Amino acid sequence: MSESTTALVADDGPLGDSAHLEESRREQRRADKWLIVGSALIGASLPGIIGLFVFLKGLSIQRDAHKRGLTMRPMIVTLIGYMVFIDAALNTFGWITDIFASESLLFHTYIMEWGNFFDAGYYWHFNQIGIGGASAPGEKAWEIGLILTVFPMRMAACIGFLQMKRWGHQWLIVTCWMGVVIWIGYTANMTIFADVRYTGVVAPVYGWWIFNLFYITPFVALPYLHTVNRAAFSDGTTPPAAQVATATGTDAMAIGTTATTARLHRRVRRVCYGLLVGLVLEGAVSMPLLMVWYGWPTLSVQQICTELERHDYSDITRSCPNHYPLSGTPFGGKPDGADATTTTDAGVVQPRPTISRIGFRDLVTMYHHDEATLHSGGK
Amino acid sequence: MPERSPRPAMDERERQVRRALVAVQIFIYGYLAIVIGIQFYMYAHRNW
Repeated sequence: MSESTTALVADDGPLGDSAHLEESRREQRRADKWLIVGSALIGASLPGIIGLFVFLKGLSIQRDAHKRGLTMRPMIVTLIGYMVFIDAALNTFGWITDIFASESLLFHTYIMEWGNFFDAGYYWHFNQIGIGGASAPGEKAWEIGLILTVFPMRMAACIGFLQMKRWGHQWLIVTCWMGVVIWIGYTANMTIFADVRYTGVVAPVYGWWIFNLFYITPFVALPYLHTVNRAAFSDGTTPPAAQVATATGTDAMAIGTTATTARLHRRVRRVCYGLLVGLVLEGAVSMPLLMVWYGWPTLSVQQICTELERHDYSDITRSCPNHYPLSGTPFGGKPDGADATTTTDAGVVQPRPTISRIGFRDLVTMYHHDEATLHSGGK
Repeated sequence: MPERSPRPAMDERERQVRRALVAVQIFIYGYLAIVIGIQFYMYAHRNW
């Protein structure tokens, strides 16, 4: 019997074959409910902190079941599945809010904070183009193109992959290759317009790369996806027993891993741990940390938003409304920056912003100074 | 120190897959390294 075949032969397990498999399946499903809900909440940014605890609860169920000797899904599949899912969810949700909720107070503030800190493509002339949101050249095309195609496809593929389905494995390969295209095209676009993206941001270049390093999930997943024994993923005709690992002990090879790929899969698994932790933390804590960095709770969210708008547009008369009609941009009307003429950029085809850098909680002083100026009649 | 077991032999197809994956990884990470390099070069020479 070949090594790859050996890896797919079922073990009876400590409870006997069918009872063992049934209990394993039940526990896996219970863990997955917590993990998928946690991933979705983390991917949605705002409830990310809650999602973190829900996600950890799911991981704890999975680990406990493994310790009890149940035959759980291989850890590397769990890691890759949720890592890529959270990556896609964060991108999808962030870009959907930039398109459809760019003037809602919370996301208006959060996106501008993120932009001012890491990537001024999400700050410079924010809400000035007709559709609203980020104004960086090319950015909206990427957003629309990718939230309609690769990211939802990738989330669906992750669910199939986590269920050890053949189509999930195949579509994860397809969407990970799309991820390679995205990385190459996106970073080329932002380098061409690097002045727009990095002028005046808190952490130019290094900040963006550190933040986005955790999104290299396609590159990490591809070596595993192309070397795993595909028979481990069911096409609907595979008997359940053929999808079980040889053993549940710590030294046993996971299903789909052969002796020749064991070392590669071990390395991929370790990198996945790091990326998953990074993505979970970024999804969970980015918004609260940025709020505090810019001035909350001394300033309210609306005051932070207002002062960022004043800074972005060099106009102290600007303010952020605290309501945003559903019929607003992009469904109707102009975005709030559409008619602004106060920004002072150099260059036209290759714009060079003149935005100054904002330091830690500088916004508090700036806001009070601008308010005093306004109340004294601009003197 | 515990003795390491010798690496198992790979068949020709596994060898080809591994070689292709190494080439892809070198290309992808090489590209990213070049882009990072260009951006840091710009950062060093522009008033960001």
